[in-house]
Amino acid sequence: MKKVVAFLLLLGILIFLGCEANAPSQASLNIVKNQLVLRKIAAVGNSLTAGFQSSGLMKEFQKHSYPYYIAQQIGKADEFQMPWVEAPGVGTTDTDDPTTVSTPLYLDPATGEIKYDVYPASNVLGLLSNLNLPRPYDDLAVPGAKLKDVLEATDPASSSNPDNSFYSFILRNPTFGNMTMVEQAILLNPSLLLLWAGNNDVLGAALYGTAIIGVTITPKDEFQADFTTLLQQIRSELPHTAVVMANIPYVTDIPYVNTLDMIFRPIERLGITSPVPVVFDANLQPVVFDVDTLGRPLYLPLLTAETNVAHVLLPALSAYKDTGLGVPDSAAMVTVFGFPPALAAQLQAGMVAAGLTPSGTPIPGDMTLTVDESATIKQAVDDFNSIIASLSQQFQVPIVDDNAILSQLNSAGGYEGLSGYYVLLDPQNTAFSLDGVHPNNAGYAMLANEFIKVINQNFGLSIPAVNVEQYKGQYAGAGKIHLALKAVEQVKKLFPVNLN
Amino acid sequence: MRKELLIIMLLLLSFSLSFGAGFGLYEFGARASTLGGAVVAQAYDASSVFYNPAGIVYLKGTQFYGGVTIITASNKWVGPAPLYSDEVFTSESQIHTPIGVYLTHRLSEKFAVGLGVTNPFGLGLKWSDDFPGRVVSKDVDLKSFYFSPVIAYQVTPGLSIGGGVDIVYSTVSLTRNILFPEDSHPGTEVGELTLSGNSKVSFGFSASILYKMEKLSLGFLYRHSVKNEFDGDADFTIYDKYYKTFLEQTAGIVDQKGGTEITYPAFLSVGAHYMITDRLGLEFDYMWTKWDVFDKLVISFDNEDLNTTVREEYSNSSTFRLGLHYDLTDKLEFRAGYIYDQTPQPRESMSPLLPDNTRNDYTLGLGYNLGKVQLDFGYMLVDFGERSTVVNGEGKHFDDFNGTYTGLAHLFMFSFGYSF
Repeated sequence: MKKVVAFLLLLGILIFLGCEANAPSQASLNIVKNQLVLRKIAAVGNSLTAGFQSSGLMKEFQKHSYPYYIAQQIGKADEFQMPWVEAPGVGTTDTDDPTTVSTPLYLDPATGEIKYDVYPASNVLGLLSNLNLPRPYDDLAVPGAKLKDVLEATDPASSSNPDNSFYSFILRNPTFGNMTMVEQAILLNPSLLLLWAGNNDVLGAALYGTAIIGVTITPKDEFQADFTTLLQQIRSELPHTAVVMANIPYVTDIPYVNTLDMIFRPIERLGITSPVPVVFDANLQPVVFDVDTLGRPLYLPLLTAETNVAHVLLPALSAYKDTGLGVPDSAAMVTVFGFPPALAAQLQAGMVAAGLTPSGTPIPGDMTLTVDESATIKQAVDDFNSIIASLSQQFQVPIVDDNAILSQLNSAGGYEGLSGYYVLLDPQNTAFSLDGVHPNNAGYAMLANEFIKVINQNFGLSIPAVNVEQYKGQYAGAGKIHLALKAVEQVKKLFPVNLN
Repeated sequence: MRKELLIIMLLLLSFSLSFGAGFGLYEFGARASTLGGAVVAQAYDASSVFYNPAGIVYLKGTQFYGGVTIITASNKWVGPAPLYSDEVFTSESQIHTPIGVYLTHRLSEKFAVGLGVTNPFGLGLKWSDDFPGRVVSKDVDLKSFYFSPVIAYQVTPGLSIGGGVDIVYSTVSLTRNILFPEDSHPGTEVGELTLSGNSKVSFGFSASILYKMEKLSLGFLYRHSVKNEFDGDADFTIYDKYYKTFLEQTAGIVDQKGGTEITYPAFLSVGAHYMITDRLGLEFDYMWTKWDVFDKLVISFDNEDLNTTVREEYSNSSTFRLGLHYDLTDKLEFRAGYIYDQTPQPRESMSPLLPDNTRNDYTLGLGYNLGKVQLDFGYMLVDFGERSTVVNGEGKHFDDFNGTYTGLAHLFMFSFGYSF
């Protein structure tokens, strides 16, 4: 008996020691590994990633942002949560009344005017329809954010612009424990992170016509340090996340800066060999006041506070139309150009008859970019892009070359059926919205396709492209366009710069 | 006070684990267990209090029977490609010791009473900290204690009826890592949650019949369902990182009261026992368990935003039990058994909390009768086989945590009986 019991016990112990469950055989899911990159998208950046258009943010625009287009193309649009700003949207135009807020710009279908409306500021928060989303937004981009803000800002006060209430809107602090934009993105643990930052580290220079390193342009060492820290943080906290970033276009390649390039002419008769801005008509065509026997046209230079002007900025257009800013009067023609008083008086009368307003007031320096300023801006963009390119190598993050795309957009043939012209000149094909800085629906669709190309190429995917064509002609119905100074200048409100 | 002491002692002693399909257990006596649990038509020892109370009227005088089952189990998991590598994760080795302790007393020729303490439902499964399914379940421990006073009455010399009350007390502890945001996969692991609680005392009942003929006997048992409401504490540990303030202060993920509700299903057994020779007996039982009561597992918190519902959607299930006993000598009985235990769990809810499968159980045992003293030993092998939530490349799991599981358990059973 004892032997039997002992035998059984021994048997049991042997089995106990020797026998575990068999290793299960691995199953396979019908998914391609690469597709895992598309499980969850998040985006950080500035207005370009927020879907900002026509000086404002609203759901209509956000649904045409490039991150949303991408989410749509991979079938994740329903779950992609942006800080939805319902109509009438939030504009950045300064209403001169702190109790009111502007809407984004819009085209008045009746008159063709670019306009904005005003409504009580107290209504703004009510427009955010998913204010109580109990997690960070998937698109955390804050219009106006500089590179440093992506990394460090938690609210307006801690950002580069304490008046920019978009931080409160989008980062929702202190509710979110004072998490920064990048921290909130990390918490989402996306499989694909879209990162486009740094545009605003140089854009202010173009918008303000003032290129000063350390004031309107971030010093490159600082840019490099911040971008490195940003990518280090992302890589260490999100080791499995696919990251795609974009470089920075030349900020002089936007209608806000280059629309009035068409009013530049050399004036041989006045001994001016390099093109200068000259008096122009309602169709932005330089006015020929006279042709001499040699067939040389006489243009009249606009008065500018700066010399060696390379670009006249868009706000000058409306001021030109409204008040005759830059249009020389007879006195200026005598003193500045050395015209005989009789000729000057005759020319002035002619201009008045043509509907111009000879004010004799020079276009101020903050509405023009000089050759040197343009060069400084271009150099800054080149510096930033070479930093981004080397970080791309270091951190193995592919780049969307938006700089090249914008250059192509400005070439004669345009790009992908779109042009880089201002709405005023090409309402059917323009890639830009009414503010002349940010893309429109079609422009963002084209940008989404550029991201999609890079994502497909680098992660072995085949996300279908957005049909840009269907978003073209957003302003096709535009008739005679009148520009209100405020309506164009407001873009700058995102980037206040202390120039003193 | 004594009752409390008893409860505490039993709590210390008893760790229960799922060894019937789902989280049911049926191993509460070494003899009965080594017969594959096919004993509803027999009245052999005081464990009849559990298996068929009607039988205790055939037990002479006052009898004690008690024992323990020592369970070691291993569960393994491998995730599906290409989401996971082919690394196999094994649950942590734990020992579980459900008990069955009984006392019966015949009051007269026709009446007998008894008391049993058993753990018919339970679950215990712990995974390592690096197990990928830790956000589904890292550690679960459910224990039930049935205190069952019973009474039996002999209607005719061959026919008896019995039944009793189940006074039920349970404890539960669930630990998992927390994912934030939960609705936005894959999310970030931000901390750990442990929900631990005790149930209020609940009540169930049992009713049974035993009909004995010369060689053939028939048995029937019904045990009613018991609904358990657990109140307890939800302890959150949020990692000390940048999101801590937000999760604690805004999302309200802080220590608070929490609770859940688990219903133990009703089951019924019918069986026939036949003495083929004087020494050789055979029993076949069929058991039906109404598992559809386990439809979902709702965990509720003071902060209702944190409430979670885990879909379980169990189906009713069948178990087939076969037991054979043979007297080697007057004192020594050999036993063997087999159980086919159909899982109530749909593939879709198979998870690290409870990866169930239809099981094949094989048993062997010996009993030694010394007159007043009875000693029983036994061994059971529980083979879960292999089961995957992935079918034809489609992940079926409700919460999208897919994988293939295997399981194997060894049960060592010891019981001691004494007739006064």
